Amino acid sequence: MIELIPAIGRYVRQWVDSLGSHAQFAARIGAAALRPPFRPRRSVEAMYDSGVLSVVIICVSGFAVGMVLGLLFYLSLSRFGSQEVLGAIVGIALVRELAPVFTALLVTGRAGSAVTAEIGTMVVTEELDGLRMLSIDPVHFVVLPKSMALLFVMPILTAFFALFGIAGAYVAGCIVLGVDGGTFVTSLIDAVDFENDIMGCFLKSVIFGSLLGLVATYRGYHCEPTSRGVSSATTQTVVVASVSVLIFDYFITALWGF
Amino acid sequence: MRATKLPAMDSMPTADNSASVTLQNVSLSFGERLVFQDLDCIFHAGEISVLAGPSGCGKSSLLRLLGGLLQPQSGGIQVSGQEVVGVKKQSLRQIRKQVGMMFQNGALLSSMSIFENLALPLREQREMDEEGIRKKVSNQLVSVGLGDAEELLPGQLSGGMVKRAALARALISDPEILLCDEPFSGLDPVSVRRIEELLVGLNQDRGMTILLTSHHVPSTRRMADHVVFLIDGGAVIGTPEELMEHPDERVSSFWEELRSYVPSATARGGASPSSAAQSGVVAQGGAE
Repeated sequence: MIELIPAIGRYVRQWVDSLGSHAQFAARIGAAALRPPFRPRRSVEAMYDSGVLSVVIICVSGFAVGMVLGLLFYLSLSRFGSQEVLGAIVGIALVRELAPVFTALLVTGRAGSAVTAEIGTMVVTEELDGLRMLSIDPVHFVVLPKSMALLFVMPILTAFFALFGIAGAYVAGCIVLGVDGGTFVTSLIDAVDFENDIMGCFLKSVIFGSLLGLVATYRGYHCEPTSRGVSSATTQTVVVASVSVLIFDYFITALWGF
Repeated sequence: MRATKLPAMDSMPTADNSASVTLQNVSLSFGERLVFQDLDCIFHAGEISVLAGPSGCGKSSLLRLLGGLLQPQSGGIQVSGQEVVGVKKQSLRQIRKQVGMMFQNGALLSSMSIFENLALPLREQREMDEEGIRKKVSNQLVSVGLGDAEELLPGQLSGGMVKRAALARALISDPEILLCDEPFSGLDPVSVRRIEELLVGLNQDRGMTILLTSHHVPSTRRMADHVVFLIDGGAVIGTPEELMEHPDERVSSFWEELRSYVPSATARGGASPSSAAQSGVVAQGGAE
């Protein structure tokens, strides 16, 4: 038992080191964001890679999740004869919780891992060293556009997820199961509050986007310059970002809107 | 270990004002693996120096130290009189403007065309207009024989073309010093000769200081003003012929290939002193 203490100590020290290193890297990205030249073209390209290419998966997933919610809540509510609040319950569940979290997890798997793999491969092929030798800061040139892209596309994708989720719930509840469409929409509009629900959703998506941007670029930038290192960094991005999203979600939910 | 001086070697570089790159008591290790210990070395301006030695001896690490991509545990490195070790990033960027580096695998940005790869550092410097950049990049690509490859991506080029594109990018900002990491690896003899000619031309026409790592003994023989053979954390310095006679078998055996190698001429265009007397042999059998 006593021999566990140094092992725990080492683990805690590594964790604190890693936290400090992430914070330092975040500060470097922040400083780079304020320093010209600004690179709108690279940022747009990164947004296309992370955002536009994720739209289909987000919309399809949102619609499917919405249909499941519509079906599940209809079955539960019909026991009490309260089907008319289906729109309200689906809306609150999606906007407050499911849309930002599901979107963050999906973007982590699709775009976050791709960002880590791309930057990691640039480490392996010495492209980042090549930039340094050209007096170009790789954080400014490579990391900043990609992390900013994840930050900006996350709220937009979250909105897509919520809209398609509501559409899915409408299809399942109103078209398939026969709930009145007008009642569904009215209860949805009455229940979803702009300040608490929609702004809370926006805040979560911005925090998740910046979190994913930091984790994905940090892991790629600091990966071991081998194919195994890139693979490991990509896995770490998915695990660390997903767990962080879920943990941060609890704290934001606890602090916002209650 | 310090650089070992060969007996009866007149061309041994010594510190003076023309020194372009100087390493003083440089020690480097990766974890417990010692790469250099108290290494002293001087590379004079306007010379071609080849870093040779067995795999893992630290040739590429030495180039990375000179480019400021690695920091030694101790010691000092001066490039054109400016300290590279422990300086701020801004100073390092200024020093790097005088140093071009050609990486072993090119290190070209894979998502950009060859033209964009070369134009990037010029655009970042913001000292030329777009028309000037276009002209300079095109001229640079023509000079390395890639005039028709402007719009291709690095992944669409052959190994030799990637090396030449990497060389063109390293030279685009007109550096005083060129560092080349294994410029001949994986190339056919014709491509090797082409890269050799480009490097020697740069040295002769522009007086550029060139440091390159290589396992390619014939090229080293043809090009090098002197060879820095890295071994046991230190260096042995001399010409290939001198190193061939070195008492340490690990050094001399590296150059064994030269015993059967008789060059017709150095890559610099004239007959080398040692080969001049043997030119008849070349006429009979060829050098390689």
